[in-house]
Amino acid sequence: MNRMKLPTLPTFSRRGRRLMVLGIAAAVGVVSGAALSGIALGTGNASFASQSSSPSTRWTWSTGVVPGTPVATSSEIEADASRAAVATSSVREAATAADGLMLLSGRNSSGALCTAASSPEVLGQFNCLSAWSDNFAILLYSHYGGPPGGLADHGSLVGIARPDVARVSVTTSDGTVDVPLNQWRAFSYTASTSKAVPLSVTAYDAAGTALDTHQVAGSSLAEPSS
Amino acid sequence: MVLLLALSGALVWAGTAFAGYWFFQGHLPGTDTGGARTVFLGYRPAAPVYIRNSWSLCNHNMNNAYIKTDYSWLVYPVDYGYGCDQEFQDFQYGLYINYGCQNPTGLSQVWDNCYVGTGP
Repeated sequence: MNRMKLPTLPTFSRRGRRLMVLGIAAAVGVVSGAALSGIALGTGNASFASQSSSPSTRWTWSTGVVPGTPVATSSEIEADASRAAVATSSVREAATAADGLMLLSGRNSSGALCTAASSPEVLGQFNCLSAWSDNFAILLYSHYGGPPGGLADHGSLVGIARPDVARVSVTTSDGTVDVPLNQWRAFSYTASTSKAVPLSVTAYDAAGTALDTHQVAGSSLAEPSS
Repeated sequence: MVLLLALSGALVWAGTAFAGYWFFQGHLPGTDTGGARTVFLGYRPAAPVYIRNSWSLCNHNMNNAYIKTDYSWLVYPVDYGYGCDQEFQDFQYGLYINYGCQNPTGLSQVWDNCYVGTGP
C-alpha cells in the first residue's frame, strides 16, 4: 500500500482559498455516498494561480465574442449544447488538433463561455467557465493511446488560455516545445510518436513566470490491478 | 492481481431496458509517483454509451479509458479545471469493447463514481 502523502498545495489568496473550499465542498456534496475517510490528498496536479483583482486573471473575451470560427454542428453536438443551455448558433471551433480533436466554444443562457471537446470518436460535455475556472491559467482537453499492452504512441490536446498567458509549452519525454496561441488564445498539439506524447502543459506569463501546469498523459493504460 | 472489474454491474444489466447506472462507486487506488489504476465496466453495452466520471477531489485529474475492438487503448484525461464531474459520449458505437475510469499518477486513492448509460 502506498504511503499517504499530505497535500503539496501552493499559497492561496483569501479569495482563492475560499473558492477552493467552496469548490471541494460542492464536489463532495454531489458525490453521493462518498466516504471521505482514508482518502489521501496527493501531490495533485494543480498549480493554482494566485487570485488578484486584475482582470487579466479572469477568463474574459470581448463582450459578446465567442472565441472561434463558425462550425457545422452535428445533432449530437446540438443535443450536448442544449443540455448546457448553450445556443447552437453560438457554437464555434476554437482550435483543432491534427488528429481531429476539436475545441468547441459557445455561450450559455447566462452569457458564460462554455467549451467542449469533440473528436471523431468521442464527444465531451460542454463545461461553462465560472469563478472556479479563474484558478487555472489554461484549460485542456486531451487524449492519448497506444497498442495492446503497449505504451502511448499517439495523442493530442486542445486548450484555451487566460488573458495573462503569454506562452504555452508542452513537455514530452523528448523535451519541451512551445505551442502557438491563435487569435482566440486557443492552442493545439498533436503527437504521432511515443516521444512526442504530451506529459504536461505549462502556461507562462509575459515575464516568463509559470502560472499553471497540467499533467496530461501517463505512459500506458494501467491494467486493472492493485 | 486483484481484478477491479465491475462484474456485478453486468448481472443487473437488462438489455433493452438498459438506461444507466453507476458501475463503480468506491475508492479507486492509484499511485503517488507512477502508474495508474483503472476500473473497467467489464462487458460491452448493446447501445451507444455515455460515461460519467465523478470524483471527490477537484484538484486532481481523473481519466476515462476506452479499449477498442483490436485491444488498442485510448485515454481521455478529464481536466480538473472543468470540475470533477464529467461526461463523455461515445460517438462510434462498435469501436470500443470496454470503458473505464482511471486514477492516474499523483493520488494514492480517490473516491470515484463511474457511470455508464445510454443517456445522461
